[in-house]
Amino acid sequence: MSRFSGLLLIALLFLLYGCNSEYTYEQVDNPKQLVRIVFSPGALGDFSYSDDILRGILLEQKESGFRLYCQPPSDMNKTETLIRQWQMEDGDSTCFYTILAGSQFEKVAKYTRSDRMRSNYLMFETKDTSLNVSTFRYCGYGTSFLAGIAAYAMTKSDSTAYLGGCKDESFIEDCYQGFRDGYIYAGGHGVAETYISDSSDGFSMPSRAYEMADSLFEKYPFIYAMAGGSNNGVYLYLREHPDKQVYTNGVDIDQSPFCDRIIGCMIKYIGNRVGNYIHSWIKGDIVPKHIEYGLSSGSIGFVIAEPYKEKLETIVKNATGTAIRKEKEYENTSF
Amino acid sequence: MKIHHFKIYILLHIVVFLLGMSSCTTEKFVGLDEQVRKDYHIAVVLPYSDGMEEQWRHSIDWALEDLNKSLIPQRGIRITAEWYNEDDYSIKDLFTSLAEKTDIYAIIGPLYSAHAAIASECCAKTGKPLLPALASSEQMMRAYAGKGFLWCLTENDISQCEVLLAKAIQKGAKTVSLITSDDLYGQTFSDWFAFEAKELGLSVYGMEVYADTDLEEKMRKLISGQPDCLICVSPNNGITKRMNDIRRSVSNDKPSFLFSDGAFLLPKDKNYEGMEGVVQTHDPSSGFQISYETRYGKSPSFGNAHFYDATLLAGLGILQADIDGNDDVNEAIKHIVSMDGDEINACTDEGMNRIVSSILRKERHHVTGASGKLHFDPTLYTNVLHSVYCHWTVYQGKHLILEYNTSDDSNRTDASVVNWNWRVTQMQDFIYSNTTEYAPKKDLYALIIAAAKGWTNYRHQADAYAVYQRLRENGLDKKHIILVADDDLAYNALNPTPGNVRLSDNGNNLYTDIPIYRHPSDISWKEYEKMIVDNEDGILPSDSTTNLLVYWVGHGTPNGLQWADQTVRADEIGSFFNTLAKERRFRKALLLFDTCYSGMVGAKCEDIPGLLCITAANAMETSKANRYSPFYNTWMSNSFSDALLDMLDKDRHQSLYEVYSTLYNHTIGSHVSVYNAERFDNLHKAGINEFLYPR
Repeated sequence: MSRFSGLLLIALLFLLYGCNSEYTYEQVDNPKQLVRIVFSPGALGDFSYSDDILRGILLEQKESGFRLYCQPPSDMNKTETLIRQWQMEDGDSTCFYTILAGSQFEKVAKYTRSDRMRSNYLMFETKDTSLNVSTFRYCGYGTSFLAGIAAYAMTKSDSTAYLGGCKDESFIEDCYQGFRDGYIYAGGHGVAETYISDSSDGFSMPSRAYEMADSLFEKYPFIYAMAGGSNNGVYLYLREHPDKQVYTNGVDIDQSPFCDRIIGCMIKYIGNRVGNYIHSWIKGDIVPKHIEYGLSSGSIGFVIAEPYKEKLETIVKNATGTAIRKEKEYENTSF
Repeated sequence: MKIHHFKIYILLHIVVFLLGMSSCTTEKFVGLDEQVRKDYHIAVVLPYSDGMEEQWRHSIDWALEDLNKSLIPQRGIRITAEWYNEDDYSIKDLFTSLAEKTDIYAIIGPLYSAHAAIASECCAKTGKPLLPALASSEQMMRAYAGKGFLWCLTENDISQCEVLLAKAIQKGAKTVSLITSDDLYGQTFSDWFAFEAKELGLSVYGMEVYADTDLEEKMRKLISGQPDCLICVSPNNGITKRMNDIRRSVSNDKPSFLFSDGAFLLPKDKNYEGMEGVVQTHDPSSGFQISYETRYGKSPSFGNAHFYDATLLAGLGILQADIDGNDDVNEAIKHIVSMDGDEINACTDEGMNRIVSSILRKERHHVTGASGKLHFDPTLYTNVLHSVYCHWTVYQGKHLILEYNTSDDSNRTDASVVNWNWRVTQMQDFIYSNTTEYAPKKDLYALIIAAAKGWTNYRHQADAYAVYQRLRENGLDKKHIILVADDDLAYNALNPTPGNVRLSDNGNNLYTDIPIYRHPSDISWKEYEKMIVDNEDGILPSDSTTNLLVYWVGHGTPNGLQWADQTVRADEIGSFFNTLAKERRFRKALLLFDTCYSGMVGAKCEDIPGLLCITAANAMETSKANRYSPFYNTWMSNSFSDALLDMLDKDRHQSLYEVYSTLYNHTIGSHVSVYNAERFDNLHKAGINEFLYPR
């Protein structure tokens, strides 16, 4: 009996022990998938491109429910350290999706592991198709071609001005070529080509853009400004000179609220695009290694601002086919 | 049998094993509430009027939600908020009660600077952590700096004033004027505007402090002066609307108008078209704005980022205190804001999660919030070292943010201080064409005037007594020092140490053997002037061999200096010294004025031979109080006098130029100015000791 009692006691203890060890804790809403994004220093808060990317990700987060980590670094060195640290943390897990928001991260992207990084990493605005990450880029030629047509229709001036943020940057170069071709196609004679800087600093120098606007608007009735955050300097100039019959464009998102003489905006829908990539990753869809988005993709376009729709919308709409064709010709010759 | 027993034995083992196995698969579900080991409460005191309640709840509930998502599973603690409508309570009563509640671990709010000052006074007594987030009165921050309980998430309004002036410069202004409110909020601007304008190379055309009744009159007066830019300080929507009506009625190009942050609270429409100003805002690189817009479908408003961060800071402080096993949330917050490792941005769910994890792992990552880096001054821990301001305008009936400006730490060093470390760039130069030969000095008299009375003006009499005691230490007898003061401090009902007047909590008692000649409340300035000039009672038997030291401390206004309740015009004071000079009643006179706008008097003393006037402030600016004591509940000294007394303690033999240089460099918040140097001796050769020692 005593042996049986001992065994029963052991059974009871075992039972109790078992009961104590198996708790299921209610989890707060904490999905496994984590999306991480790193911007270049100072990029967030630009009212346009970078802000739109974050907006697109957050909207997708509402739909898909992943965790999000966004780290705005203070300098590029810290950014690189951070990304390498993430790569180490990831191990073999496929629960992490990393977005490198801009071509500045090409160097870091080269360090990614070739065996599986492609589906877990996204970088954009690069022409380099040899990287081990998913990439895409926009072509600004066709949209800028339409902008050139709209600018001429608005001003009927022989010549006009182009203000680029950074010289020798491929997208900026595409935009100049497209705008010039469109302007001349519509009836203009030429486009004065100017740049704020030789480096990417030119995308965040609104004061310099203001000064250049002051000078350029003396001679030209329109400035096609492709200068990122520096465009704000042009808008400021126009707000401060409400009597001048001169015009400009918006860039990346609808910036027409910034100034009533923005006739239209080059809109990239970058937020939607990045959101779609995340969506595909969560669903497990395979995405192409590199995609070019031009005017025909619908991912980029020139949207006429409300006050100018009556005058310009039909003209731009009618020229869209030509712009798409011209863009394809341009892409074929420039690559 | 043995086999049978063996079978039973084996069977029992199997039963035990199965029981054990079955028990292993028994699960108990532990809900989130059950995981909470301890609930911590914080109080939130903010106004609900004009639909603001929803705005505050957006930020604070969001931060709490993200915090608790991490705190509950990782630490078993939860933070909950008790809400109080700032509009519904007596602030004094509410904060007295909250400060004493042991189950409240921190208080967020109140919104308004005047309320925050009262809240600070209450919380100082118990050390209750107070995070007013947006209250930015410089006086409040300075009064409680370093006391360990006050956590301000913006710089004070000295910075806002500076940003407004910088905006004026950016718009091409060379001349500026200020119209500001007669409350605690407006005071920072009136105190610092002229000082900062001078530092930035701007000319001040005018400055007016308005009451509710004379706003229009004073604003139009400033507009008629046509400065390039008029800076408008408005504490509430009603005032902003009235200021905007005047702005809209101006047809000239000049002035342009820039509004302080209070104007941002106004819902905008076409009536406010073209209005512009600055306001503290989120850090654009935090992503807070986009997150807020995505979550709530509209842009964040005034204060959203700062109250998110206040909640974050309180929550992390509570976590750290819980880890430390005590209730000292202030010390825990100090620990949190001192962490200096790699930054973690708390504006996403995962960011918050990482911060909590890292604190639990005892890592020291630096926390950045919605309003930017939560970097506090490392000596006082009172307010953040830099803030983000945005320049906004109303364009087509909507708020438009034009750009962001940060007051980074590049031009301020390490204190909140911060604002006190101005670089000296505009000291005066002196030309020495005067070749007057002075007869040998045979005697020294001193006139010491403490012209203000009452406990709130404690500092003036305290400084006067301190100067008196220094002269006595130097051997000057009582008859040579004519001290005028109201003598209402030592046995004032508010004095916690009756019979004592000190310059600091533990300072020496200055109220010993103090013979007071007259009380300013009892005689008029004219009567005093007559007594001195006529040498009544033989009080000032001075002649051309006598040096005269005059030290006047008290209040000044743009209209003159205060003598008890009277205002004495600057020209009346100048005339008094001119009379003494004409009657050859002094060999040399050194006048030290520690009052606001004292430069006005200096200007009226010019051309008086043998007289040098050093003032705490120039003619357009205020001088500043110094050394606030929560124990005495008042300011103990003045900035200029504090620097003067400190200098006298260290070296009483400096040249007058060195005295000027020392005072200029150590007087914070105003420009020490010298007047009439051309009619005086060479400042490099003449020493201060001529006015400190009898021989």
